[in-house]
Amino acid sequence: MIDRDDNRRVGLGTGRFGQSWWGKQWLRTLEELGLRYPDGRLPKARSLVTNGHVDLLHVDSGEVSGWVDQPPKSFEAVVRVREFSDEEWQRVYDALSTQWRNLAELREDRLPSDIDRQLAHIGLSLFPTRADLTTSCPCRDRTGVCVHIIALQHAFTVWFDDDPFLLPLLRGGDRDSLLSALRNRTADQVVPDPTPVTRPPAAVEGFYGAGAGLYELERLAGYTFSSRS
Amino acid sequence: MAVPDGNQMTLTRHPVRLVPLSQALPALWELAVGDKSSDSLRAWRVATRITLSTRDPEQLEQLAASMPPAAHPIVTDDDEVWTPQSLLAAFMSAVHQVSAASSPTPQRLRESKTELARDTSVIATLRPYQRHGVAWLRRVAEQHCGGILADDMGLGKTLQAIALLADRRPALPHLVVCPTSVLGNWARELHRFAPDLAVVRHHGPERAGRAEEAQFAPGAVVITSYTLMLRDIDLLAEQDWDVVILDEAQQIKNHTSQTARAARALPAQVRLALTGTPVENRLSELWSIMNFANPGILGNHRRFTKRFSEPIEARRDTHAAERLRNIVEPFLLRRMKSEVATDLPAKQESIVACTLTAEQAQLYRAAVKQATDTGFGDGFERHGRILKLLTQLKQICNHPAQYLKQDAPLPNRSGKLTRATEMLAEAVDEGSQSLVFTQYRAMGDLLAEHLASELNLPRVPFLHGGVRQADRDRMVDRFQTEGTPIMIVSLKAGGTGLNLTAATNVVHYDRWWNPAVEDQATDRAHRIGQDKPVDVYKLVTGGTLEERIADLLERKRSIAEAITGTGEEWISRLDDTQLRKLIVLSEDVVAE
Repeated sequence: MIDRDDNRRVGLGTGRFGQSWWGKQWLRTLEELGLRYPDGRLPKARSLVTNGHVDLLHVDSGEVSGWVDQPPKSFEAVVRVREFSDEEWQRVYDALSTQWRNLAELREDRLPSDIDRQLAHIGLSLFPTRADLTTSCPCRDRTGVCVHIIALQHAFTVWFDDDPFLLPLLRGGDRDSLLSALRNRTADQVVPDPTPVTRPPAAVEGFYGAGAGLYELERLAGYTFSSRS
Repeated sequence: MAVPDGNQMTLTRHPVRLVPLSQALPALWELAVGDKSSDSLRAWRVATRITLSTRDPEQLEQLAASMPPAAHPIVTDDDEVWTPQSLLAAFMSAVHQVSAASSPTPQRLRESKTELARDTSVIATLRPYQRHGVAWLRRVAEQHCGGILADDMGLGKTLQAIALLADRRPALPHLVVCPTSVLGNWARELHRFAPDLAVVRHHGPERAGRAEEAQFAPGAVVITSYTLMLRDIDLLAEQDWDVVILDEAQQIKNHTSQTARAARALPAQVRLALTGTPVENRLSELWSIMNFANPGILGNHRRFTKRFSEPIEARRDTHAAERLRNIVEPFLLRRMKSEVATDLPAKQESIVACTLTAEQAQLYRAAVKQATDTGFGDGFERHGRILKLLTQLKQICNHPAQYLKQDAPLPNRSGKLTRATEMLAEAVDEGSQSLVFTQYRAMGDLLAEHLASELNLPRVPFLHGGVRQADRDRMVDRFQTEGTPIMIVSLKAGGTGLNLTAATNVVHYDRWWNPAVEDQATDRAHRIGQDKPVDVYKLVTGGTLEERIADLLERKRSIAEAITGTGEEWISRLDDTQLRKLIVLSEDVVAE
């Protein structure tokens, strides 16, 4: 459970929602819920948040909730996310631990930008899809994506930008277990002990220049610039 | 390195700068290259990407094949170079270790706290809790991480740290950074507990200015102050260190300060922070110190504030506090006096060496010169002149204001006052009570005023011969029952039934070179009925007669035993040569 004392009027005065890539990605869940742009509810919901009308924001395993005030009424909006089973989490840990960069990024409080692409081959994604989401709000809009839900989702991104581990939390995990699972799995991986093999130093010719293979590797490794002409 | 020279290969030595892999990896990963970047750098950048992501054997093979010779030029003892394949394998193994690190580490560190270090190389008998401390420090060092040793004042943090240094046989030098006021004390304790360790003071105007001049030898302990660390950070950050110790590490409690940033830039195998008060006011101070010792384990500062500082400080959130304790605990060792009381002797005496300021040194030299120029004469006259000189020198060591009969300003003019203030601040923070003895009424007044203003105390009482009996009784009573944090007592204020057993710290601000008199004062705090151990600190100024007489008395029990009566006349019985040796100032100990 996330227990924060700044849970009143969350998002008051926010200029831009979704500053991190994961914050932006979270707002796409509104599309999963059936919202299509443009939609008049969207600006209305944003102004509810920036005017401080989302109160008592609460994030827990599998659930985000908050009270959206529209005086004289107040609506408790809830978004539920399907939690991963233990077995699913084990598969997530296995998949993410194959690449050490995931742990490196998570340790720095960043969500690897291709995290869901990495999980695709085990058929999971951390960001919820339509099937993972349910919403509830006592207002009369029965579309499942009423103005209050939209406001709640925007307020959530304000916290989420700062703390990407809210996503694993919504999926029933948490920062410490995720990091230690990845660490332990990494520690268990066997990397051959290096044995020094030496040879006489190379000739002067071509000492500083790389073979053509290097530029191809750079491309494969995701560096996007052309090789030197 | 094997590099081209004209049209043939030669072996040359190049200065290198080693960076911890944990810092180098993100930098290499993000590195932007341009037309000027070498292919060698680009090759290692690709190596970082492949290693941290797929570790695809085919790609690694291709990399090894296309890597330029310049990317692996380091020669072995038999003048050969590692093949790219074996170097990449070594790189992967190192990255693996770094990535997997800190999973077994916290557990190992936790366990080590209950182990006892045997066979230490220091010349001292370590108490059981200190041997636990050394076992933990060794484990910290073995894991190449960092630690915060946060024992209460008086439990021997310096000694435990020296025990760690004394057992290492590193290829690199060690660095100790401390406040100027304790520089002398570090040199002294290193010399005393580990005489085999070479000590280099990086200090004073004569210090080395460039790496080539400095030539810090492997295994040597380089001591410097925070001020000079900041000033010479380019030089110090160029050197790879074995153990870097920050003493009084609360000096870097502000994580945005230049000092904190400079400390983080020191490359080291092992980083150690010593402090009696890891958190003086705000949790963010702990973050800053831990960010020196173990960068990253508490996350970035903003997130730390959100996860811990805000919930704990604003709402006393016990869950957040518990989580923080769990993360920090393996890397922080803190014992309070009360916990280890059974290990402690009833009375523990230590000599604390302080550093002269430039102003003090100048006054000191002038006084010595004037006295020796005039000569000491003989007989009764000699006796008088020597005692007069002793008094002058003691006053200068105490505070220039005392010697010059001034009231102000007080801060930063006396190394001894600075050190005493630091120690007493720590004692006040711990909530323990202290007695400060001085033989001078004038110094007592200066101390009372200075301590009250520096430590935010409403009043620091001064009990001296001029205080009426009724007021005396009231002072003593308040001290004993109301917990007055600090009381200053004139050494001569009579031994008449003063019972000050509430004190657990006794500071002798200046020395009366007569053990019998000092012991009598100390015993006012340490009496039968005292159920807490008492720490006795005797302040001496390094490089001056204070330190030399203290050494003399300590080394030569015969002298100490031969001193009879209550005076210091024995000093005037020394001949001129002995006397000169005793009073002349060692020039290497003056603060910058």
